[in-house]
Amino acid sequence: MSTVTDIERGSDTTLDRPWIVIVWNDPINLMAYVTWVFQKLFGYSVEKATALMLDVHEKGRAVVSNGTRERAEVDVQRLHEHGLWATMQQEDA
Amino acid sequence: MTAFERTATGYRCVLDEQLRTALLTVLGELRDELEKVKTTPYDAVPAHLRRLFPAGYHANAEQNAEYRRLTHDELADTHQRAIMESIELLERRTELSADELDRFVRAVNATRLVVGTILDVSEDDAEPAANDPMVDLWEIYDFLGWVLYQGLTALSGGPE
Repeated sequence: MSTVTDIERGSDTTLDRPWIVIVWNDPINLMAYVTWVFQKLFGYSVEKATALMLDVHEKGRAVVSNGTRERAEVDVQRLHEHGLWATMQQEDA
Repeated sequence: MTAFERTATGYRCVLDEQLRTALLTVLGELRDELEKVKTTPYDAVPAHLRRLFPAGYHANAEQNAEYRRLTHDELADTHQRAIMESIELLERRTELSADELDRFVRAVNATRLVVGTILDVSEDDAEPAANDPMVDLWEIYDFLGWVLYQGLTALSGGPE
């Protein structure tokens, strides 16, 4: 069982796992728009942004960022401001 | 035909009067609808507007309820401000900065999301039949897609 001190130190494996932000496919957003949003929000090159957009389009989803929960919350909210269907979750162990 | 031209200091909207009026009409309708749902709980938001307020967590109703409680008003305000600014631009001037064109593109995309939701757009959609009762809305949807693409092309340093 984790003690408060353990958790504060980050030794709890659940707390250690990073959060990921997933963008899901939707039939309305233009592919060019999704690519542009990835470039703008994450500073990705056009090649990386296009590859992620194609993952979203062809595989149904793509992980576009990861990090702390706070970072994921900011990224999801910004993606929502741009009309993309994005969710956050903790990465699988 | 193009919608935006690059200038020495930014961009110029070159939509003709008829297209500007059409765009103003649909943007104005969404502005008014967003005003009504600004502080409305998600469950009471009309179905065609819900696409503008996505879930923040995958398959977790409790976390989504909290996420929406915290973000709904701000998200509605962000969408509405982009739309209001775009309306003001279309009504008063043709010159845009890069930031203004950025917000214009977001406003057009938000409007297209709502229209597409009403049309129940899917990946497999073909051209609507001429007698489709929604044929006029399909034309607006296609028009918004064209304006959006034009804006993205300009922002990406496309044709001058």
